[in-house]
Amino acid sequence: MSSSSTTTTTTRLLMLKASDGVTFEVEEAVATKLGAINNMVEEEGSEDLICLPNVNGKFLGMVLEWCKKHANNNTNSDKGNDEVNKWWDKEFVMDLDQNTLYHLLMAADYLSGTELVDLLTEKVASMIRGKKVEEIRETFKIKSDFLPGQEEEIRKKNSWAFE
Amino acid sequence: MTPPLTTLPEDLIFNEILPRLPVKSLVRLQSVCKPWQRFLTGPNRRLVSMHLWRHRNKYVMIKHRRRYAPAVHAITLLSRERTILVDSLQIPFESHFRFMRVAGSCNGLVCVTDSEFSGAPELPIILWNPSLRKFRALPRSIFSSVLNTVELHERIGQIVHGFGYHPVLDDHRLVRILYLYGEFEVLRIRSEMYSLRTNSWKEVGEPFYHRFLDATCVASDGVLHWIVSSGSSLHFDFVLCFDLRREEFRRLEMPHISLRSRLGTRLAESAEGRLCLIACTPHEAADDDKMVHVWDLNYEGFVWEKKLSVGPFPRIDRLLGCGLNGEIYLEDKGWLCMIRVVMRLKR
Repeated sequence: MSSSSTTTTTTRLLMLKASDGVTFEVEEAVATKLGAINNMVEEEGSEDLICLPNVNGKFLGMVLEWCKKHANNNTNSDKGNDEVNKWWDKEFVMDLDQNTLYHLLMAADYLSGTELVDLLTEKVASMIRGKKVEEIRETFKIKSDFLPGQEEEIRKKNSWAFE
Repeated sequence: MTPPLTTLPEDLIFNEILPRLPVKSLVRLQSVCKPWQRFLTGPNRRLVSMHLWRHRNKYVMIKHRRRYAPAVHAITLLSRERTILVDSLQIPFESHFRFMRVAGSCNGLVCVTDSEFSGAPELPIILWNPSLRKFRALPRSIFSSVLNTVELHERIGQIVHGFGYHPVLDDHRLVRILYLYGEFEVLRIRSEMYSLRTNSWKEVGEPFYHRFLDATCVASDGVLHWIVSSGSSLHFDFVLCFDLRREEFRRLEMPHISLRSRLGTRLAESAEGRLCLIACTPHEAADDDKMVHVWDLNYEGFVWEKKLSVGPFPRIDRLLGCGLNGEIYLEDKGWLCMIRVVMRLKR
């Protein structure tokens, strides 16, 4: 730890341990993009190994990849970076299948990665925007619990919204 | 391997995902299942406020004369981000009014009533939510009964309205100013206020002596504003303010404008929620061409700051309003026009 070299600034490294035992070594500045980690670091101080029993390694890795990108770009105050970040975010969510997207969102939510939750919920919203009611039931695996006739009544009352 | 995840927790769906959808989708989604219906139709302030916050400042609503018969008025919704026409709206109960007027709009609620010149205080005042296609008439106001309001020998001149929202009170309020003329044209002014929270009216303090000039009210930061005058020349113009929380009137002087040539002034709310004033003057070189000037109000100092002067423009009949992203909306012989100022405005 205590290196005598003076050129390297001391960046503290944290060990994050996922539910399946996979560990990640990340810079503190990257990991603290996540509100939950930030709280743990502030509260517990010296703890270097953080166990995250609710997040699987695959998705923790993806969350950290996002954090790394955004932490790096934050240190650069260049305005063009904003555009680069947006572009990168777009690519990041573009080809996610539904299962990965849901897992990733749950992980980001659990870790309080507010900006990432924002990005992912917007993606889910864009998937259901303009979709039929039946398709939305399918997207969230919801069974209609209306009695016969009740659903028709709601549709009739709001017929303009179904046009 | 991770187990497949087929759905998301209700909390995430309700609080993070649904508020991102347009109102029309949310109305449709009531028929997904009972919990969704309860969430979407219940008295849910959280959903409403999140929805408003997510969609804030996205649209500009403009009421203008329609170019074609039969309807006299049209309401056009423009997207601020993409500068496209989003919707053309039908006004409910237009035929109930002699001359329909939009008293104001905020948070997606539009207050519709009759023109200031109708002189009929009993005409309905309607709160309209165009995105939900719902409307309701306000209860009768204190001054809606002429007998209680007007003294012998008095007649009602104009009735001016202002509609706004106060974020701290979390209340939408409507102010109504009545101009009563007695013998020898002596003017008496009375004012009353409606609160949506209590669904009731009460009389409020008298404003400064003034004559009404432009019935258009602009609400910004919990304060209503009208351009009025206390005399016969432009020198006497000022902005009458009504603080929705303190329930009192204030006076704000106009910025310095070359008085000789002022053709029209208009208040507007900028995209940042500031009050701004737009004025139109003839161009020095050619009188038919016009210049447009914009100020915005520095609330701390209660003073106007000049933002820009642009032009000349050949075709301006009437100023309608502006967004301080640099858009200025105009009317020209029944056409809706927009000038986009390319220069980005500094705060």
